[in-house]
Amino acid sequence: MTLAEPLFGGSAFFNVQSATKGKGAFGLGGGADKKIIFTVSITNPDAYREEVTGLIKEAQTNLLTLVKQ
Amino acid sequence: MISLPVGRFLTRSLKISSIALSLLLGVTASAKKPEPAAAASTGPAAFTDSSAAGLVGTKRVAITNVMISFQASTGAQTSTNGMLAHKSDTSSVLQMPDMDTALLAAITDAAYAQLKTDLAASGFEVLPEATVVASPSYQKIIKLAGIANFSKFANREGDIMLVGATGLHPYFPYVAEGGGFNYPSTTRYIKGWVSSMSVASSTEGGPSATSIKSTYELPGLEIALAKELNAHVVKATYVVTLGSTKAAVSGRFSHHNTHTGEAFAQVSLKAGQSRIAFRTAAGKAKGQSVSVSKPLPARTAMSL
Repeated sequence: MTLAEPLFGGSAFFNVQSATKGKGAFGLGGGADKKIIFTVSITNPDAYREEVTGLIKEAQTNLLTLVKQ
Repeated sequence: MISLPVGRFLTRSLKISSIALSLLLGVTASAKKPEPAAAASTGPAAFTDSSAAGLVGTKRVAITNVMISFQASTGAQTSTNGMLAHKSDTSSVLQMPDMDTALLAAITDAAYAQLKTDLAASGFEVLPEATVVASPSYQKIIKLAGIANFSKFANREGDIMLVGATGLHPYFPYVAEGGGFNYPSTTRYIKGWVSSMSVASSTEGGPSATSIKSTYELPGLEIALAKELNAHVVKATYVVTLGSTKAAVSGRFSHHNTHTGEAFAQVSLKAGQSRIAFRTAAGKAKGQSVSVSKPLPARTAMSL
């Protein structure tokens, strides 16, 4: 049994920082010409834990409804 | 590195100089008000290959695995049309390379406790953990497919950290039953997370692209455990996503192109890969038939 649709939570506990990388001098080096990196950190661990735990609880309720004895 | 005040949905545009192709001349960054990816869903669930009819015979269940894949990175790449010097590409990566394992363990343990409660509320008799882990068949499963907790690995979308519940030894599900999603992406986003050469976890005791494909005996061992304990074997696996990102590049010539990346960090549970699977004593020892290259739609894929 699987979730047929994603369960979306929040984003308020995240912070994102951005940075860019290019190829080396004269365009040498592997990968894309320009790499844009967004780095996420969790600023409120308690809120993150509650959010994910809540999503899993909701998912499990929905999943196990299918096999309730 | 630029830190933006509204830090969850970012857009960055780049203009590349014609004089110094590899040097960044101008950077503009802006933050957009987060747009909800979707309204909170009720998350309807679906059988992937079977029905509850396969669970007749016993109400006993043995939980063998509760494992969460926390997405550590995801990415997107795009390129302009054109040949050689006129071709230009951009990649955008959303990543969380520093993960608090204690936090992730607390979430996974809560999921395990909730699963036991929910199974009991659904009419099942949950066997004691000590009974399950002492079982010879369980030990064979761990010997075959067990992985180190907090293993760094990857799925089709990017890097992940695999976290198992305390009390159970995490093991990688039979990969052929999960469709193509559980095979590592060929793109490495976080340097050193997974070996580029061997596509192996950088964590000692972690999985590799080779090891996850060699556990073809796993369904048979789970069936043996179901028979040994006279119980259905229950496994819960979830994929907690990090968000989404987009990349764009525009312009006719590589040295005059504008490179843009967008990212939206938002936690979610992934459909199709967040699942509870029952292995019954009457299951197929060779596993269920699932397309490796193309995961079946959620409503018709299988996991039972």
